[in-house]
Amino acid sequence: MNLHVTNHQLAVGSISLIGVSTSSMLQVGDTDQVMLYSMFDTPPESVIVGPLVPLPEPSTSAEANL
Amino acid sequence: MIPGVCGRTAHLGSLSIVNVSLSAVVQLGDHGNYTPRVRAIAVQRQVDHTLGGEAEFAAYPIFWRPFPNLSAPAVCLTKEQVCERIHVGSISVIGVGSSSLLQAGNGSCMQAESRIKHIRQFQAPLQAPAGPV
Repeated sequence: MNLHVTNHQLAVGSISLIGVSTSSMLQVGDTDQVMLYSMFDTPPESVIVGPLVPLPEPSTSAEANL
Repeated sequence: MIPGVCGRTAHLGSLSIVNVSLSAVVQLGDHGNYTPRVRAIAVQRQVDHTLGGEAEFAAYPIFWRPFPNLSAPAVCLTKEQVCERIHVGSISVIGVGSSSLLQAGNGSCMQAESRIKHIRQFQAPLQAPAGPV
């Protein structure tokens, strides 16, 4: 695939942001390749209601996969 | 200029940042390869649990599950720079966090990874299991 880009004049007055958050970017310039991965896990089962117990130890199968 | 990186020149009037945290980078200039990674277990407990100990990354698959492949077709890119100048009057950011990037300049390759496990624990009395009547 052929892609031809013509960059003309670019002028921005001001940029005002609250935040640049997880795996994101704010760039004034050019980049050839960008890959931004983000995993955020908060499923319903991550809510634990009950007597407080320690968080789980790694299982043997989990350590084998590491 | 980094070899292979052909880009424009950024001109900033002012830059205001309050906080930079958790594998984040603020860069004024060019970069080649930038690969920030962050792993986090965020535990919110209703009450403190002094005997709970530390949480283990290895206990949760999210920390070793592979990312999907984002392979793109080969692109033959040609650029024509009519104006080699990007002008921004001012940038104002409160927070830059969690493997993110704020850059004024050019780059070659960026690959950011973020894996966050969020657990919420609420205290409740232990109930006896329901048995046969």
